[in-house]
Amino acid sequence: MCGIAGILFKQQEGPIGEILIQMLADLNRRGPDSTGLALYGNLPKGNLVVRIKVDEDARHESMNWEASLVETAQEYGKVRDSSRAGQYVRLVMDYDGAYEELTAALEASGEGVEVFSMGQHLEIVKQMGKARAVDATYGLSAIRGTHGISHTRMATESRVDISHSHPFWARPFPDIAVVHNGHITNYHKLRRRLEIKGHHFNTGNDSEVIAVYIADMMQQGATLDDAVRSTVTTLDGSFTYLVATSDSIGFARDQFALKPLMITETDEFVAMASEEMALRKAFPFELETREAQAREVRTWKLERAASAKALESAVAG
Amino acid sequence: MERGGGLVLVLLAIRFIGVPYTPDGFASPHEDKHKALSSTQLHPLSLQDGGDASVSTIFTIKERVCMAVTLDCATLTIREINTSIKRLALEGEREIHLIHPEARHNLGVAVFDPVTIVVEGTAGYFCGSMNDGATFHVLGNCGWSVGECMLNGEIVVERNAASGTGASIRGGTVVVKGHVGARTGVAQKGGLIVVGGDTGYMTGFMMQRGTMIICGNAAEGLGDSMYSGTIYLGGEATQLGNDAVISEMNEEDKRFLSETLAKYGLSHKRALADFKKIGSGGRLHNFSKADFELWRVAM
Repeated sequence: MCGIAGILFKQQEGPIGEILIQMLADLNRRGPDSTGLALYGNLPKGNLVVRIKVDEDARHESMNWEASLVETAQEYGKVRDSSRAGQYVRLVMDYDGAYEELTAALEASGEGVEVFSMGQHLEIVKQMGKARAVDATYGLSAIRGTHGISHTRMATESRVDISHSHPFWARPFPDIAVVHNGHITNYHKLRRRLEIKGHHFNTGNDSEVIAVYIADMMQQGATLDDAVRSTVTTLDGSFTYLVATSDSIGFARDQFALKPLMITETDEFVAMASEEMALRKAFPFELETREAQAREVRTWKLERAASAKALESAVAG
Repeated sequence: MERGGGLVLVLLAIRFIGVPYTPDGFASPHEDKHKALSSTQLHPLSLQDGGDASVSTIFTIKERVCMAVTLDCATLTIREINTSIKRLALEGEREIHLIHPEARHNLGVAVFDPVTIVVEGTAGYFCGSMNDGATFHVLGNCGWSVGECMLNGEIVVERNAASGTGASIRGGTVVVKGHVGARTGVAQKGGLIVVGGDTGYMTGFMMQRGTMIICGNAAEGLGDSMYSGTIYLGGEATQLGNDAVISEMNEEDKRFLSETLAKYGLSHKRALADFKKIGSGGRLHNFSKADFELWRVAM
C-alpha cells in the first residue's frame, strides 16, 4: 500500500524531522516494511553532502568504509567532514564537477556501495523497519530544516531491502528526491527506453523509474514542473507521488485518483500525507484539509527569506 | 440537598427510561435487551458494575440519563468505540457524541439501531458505513467512503468528504455540504446522496438505482455506465461518462430538488434553474453491433 508524507516551512526552518517522524509513525499502518526520509536543511560547510549506503554483511565487516570512501572522494574535491552511522557514510565536501562522475567513482570503490543522495541540501535516510526505529538509529526527530518528503513502504512488486526503499534520488541531479504510493504498470517499457539512453537503475523497484524519468526530462532541458506534469500522462498505473528539490516540494496524482493524498496549508507551512490521521498526529491543532484531485500537479516553493538564509550559511560555513 | 435531588431525578428517570449503564457484557441478542431493562427497572440501585449506590456513580448515571453520552476516542480503540456505541444504542441511548475523533477510520460502522451519533471533528475512512437506521452528524471533514453500503438512516457531513462517498448505498441519505472526491456514489443501489459542492472523477459510476444531487461541478466520467437512477447536476460536468445523457427536468424533479436542498440548508448553493437531469441512455443495457463504437470506448 505505502504511505507518503511531506512538509515545507515557507519562511524559516522548522522541526521537519520531528514532524515527518510523527507522520511516518502513523503511516507505518500503510507500510511496515521500511521507512525513508529526504530531508532538506542548511549545509554548515562545504557545498555538497553525499549519503552513501554500504553493506554490513559478513563479507564487509572488516572494511573501513568511511576511510575508503573519504579517500576516493578526496580525489575529486576537498572533504570537510565525514561520519558513519548505521549503514550510511556521510560526506560533506567541496565539489564543482559532474555529479555522475563523482557518483560512479564512489560506487566503484566497493561491492554493495550505493550513493543514495547527493546535493547541497538533500539528505536521504532510509532503512528497513518502522519510523521509531529509524529515528532511534539516526536521531532524525532532532533535525531541523526547511522541507522534506518521506515514505513508509509496503513492498508489492520488488524486494524488501534498503536499496528498494524510498525516497529515490533522481540521479545525477543534485537535491531531487521522489517518494511514491502506487504501482507503475508501464515500468518495464519505460525502464528499457531510459536504459538505452544510458540511465542507470539501482533496483527493480518500479517507483525508481519516476525519479529516473524526471532526471531524463530535465537532462533534455525541461523544468521540474514540466517534467512532473508530463508524468501524469506518461506514467501508467496508480500513483500519488511527492517530489522535492532544493527549494520546493510538490505532488502529482494519477488520472484515476487511486491513491489518497490530504493537504493542509497555513501561512507558515504546507503539509501533506496519505491520510489525515497522520497530519493530525503531527499537528495537534485544528486543520483545514483538502484531498488532492485526479491529475492534479501542485508545487510549493520556499519563500525568499528561507532560501536566502540557506545560501548565507552555506557560504559563511 | 443536591445529592438528594439528584437521587430523586435518577429514580424518576429510571422509571421512565430504564437504567442505561451496564459497563460489562455486551447484550447481543435483541431479546436480552428487553429482559435486561425490565429487571433493572425493578432494582434501580443494583448497579451491574458491582458498585453500590455511591455518590459518584449516581452523578454519573444522572449525567448519562439527562445528557448525551460522550465517548472520548483519544482514550479508546476503534473496537472499543464501536462496541460501546452498539451497546449503548441497544440500551436505549438516543444520542452519542464522539470527541477527539482525529480522522480515525471505521468510526461507528455497522450501527443497526436508531441512535444519533455526533462526530465532533473529522472522521477518517468508512465513517458510518453499513449503517442501518442510525443518524450521523459529522461536524468536520470525512475521509473516503463515508456511509458505504448504508441500508437505512442518515449521515450529514458539515464540511468536505473524500473519494467513494456513499459508495454502494442501498437506502438512506448521505449529505456532504462541502466537496467530495472521486467515485462518489459508485454502484449506488438506492437511497439519496446530496453534495453541496463539487465532485470528482467517475462520480455515479455504474449507478443502478437511487438519486444523487450535486450542486457544484463534476469531473470527468459523471454517470459513466449507469444502468438507472438519476443524477441532478447544478454546475458543469467536465465530461459526461459513457452513455450518460441529459434529459428534461419536470415539475416533480424541481419540487424534489427544492425540498431536499431546503431540508439540508443547501438552497443557496445553486439556483434551481441551473440543474440538469442526467440518466442512462440505455445503450449499454444490451449489446448491439450498431453501438460497437460506444462499447469500444466504454470498455
